[in-house]
Amino acid sequence: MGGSPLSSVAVRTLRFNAADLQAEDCLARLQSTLACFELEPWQLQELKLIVAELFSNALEHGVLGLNSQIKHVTQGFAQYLHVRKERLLDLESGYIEFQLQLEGEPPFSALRIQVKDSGGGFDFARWKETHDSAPERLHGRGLLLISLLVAELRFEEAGSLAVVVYPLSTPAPE
Amino acid sequence: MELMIDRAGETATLRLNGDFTMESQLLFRETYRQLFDEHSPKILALDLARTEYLDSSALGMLVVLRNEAEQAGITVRLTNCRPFIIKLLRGANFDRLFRIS
Repeated sequence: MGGSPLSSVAVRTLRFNAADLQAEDCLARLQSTLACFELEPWQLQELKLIVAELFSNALEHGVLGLNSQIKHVTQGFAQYLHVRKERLLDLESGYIEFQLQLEGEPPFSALRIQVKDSGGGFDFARWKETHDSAPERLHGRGLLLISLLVAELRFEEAGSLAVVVYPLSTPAPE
Repeated sequence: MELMIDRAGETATLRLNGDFTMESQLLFRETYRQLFDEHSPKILALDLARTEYLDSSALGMLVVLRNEAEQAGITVRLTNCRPFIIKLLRGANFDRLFRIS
C-alpha cells in the first residue's frame, strides 16, 4: 500500500442499472475500480476473474433469469449466448450492485466483495449438494473458479446476494 | 484473442494470443473445426503461452473442443500454460481431461 490519497479509499460501490448493463462496459468499470485499491498485479488478475464470474452469474441467472441447462444440448452454448443477447436487449428494469470493501486497518487483511442483483436468487444449498467435480460438465464452473481463489464464498437473501472474501495476506505465487 | 495455426506432421498447434473468454467463442470454434476438417491431425496442441487470463466460459469451450476432437479421433493437449492458468485448470480437474504442461 502506497501513501497516495487513493489508498485511503476503503469502500467503493458500483451500481449498474438496465441501461448500464446493456452498454456492456460494466467489466471494464469494475476493473478500473479494482485498480483503485493498489494491489499487486497477480492479485488484480485473480480479482478480475472473480468479479467477472460474479458479474456473469448475477446478470445471467439473476437479472436475465437464464437457465444453464440449455448449454447441454447440441449447439447449446451458442444458443445460450443468443438468448442472453436477446434478453439483455429487451431489458427494461433490474440492477446489479457491487460493493468492494477493504477489511481491517492497513495493511488490509482482505477485500470483501458483495454483489446484489434484482433477480429471484437461486438455491445455493442445492447447488453445493449437487455440485460435483466432474470436469466434463458444460456449465457451473464460474462459482468453482471463484472458490479456488477466495477464503469465503456464500450466498444470502435467497441467493440474490453473493458475498466473497478475498484474502490479501496470501504470499505471491511462485 | 488471436489464433495462429502451425502444422508439423500429425500434430497441429493452435497458438492463442490474448484473453480466452466468451468473446472468443465463435473464432475459436470455427478455427479448430476448420483445422479438423481440412487437416485431420492426430494431436492438437493448444499453446497457451500468450494467454494470461481465461474464464469459466473458456473452460466450457475446452470441454466442447475435447468432445468434438474425441469423435474425430484427435487428442488435445494444453501446452505452455502459465501458472495462473494451470491453477485454474487443475482446480477444475481438467488434468483428468487433458495432458497439461
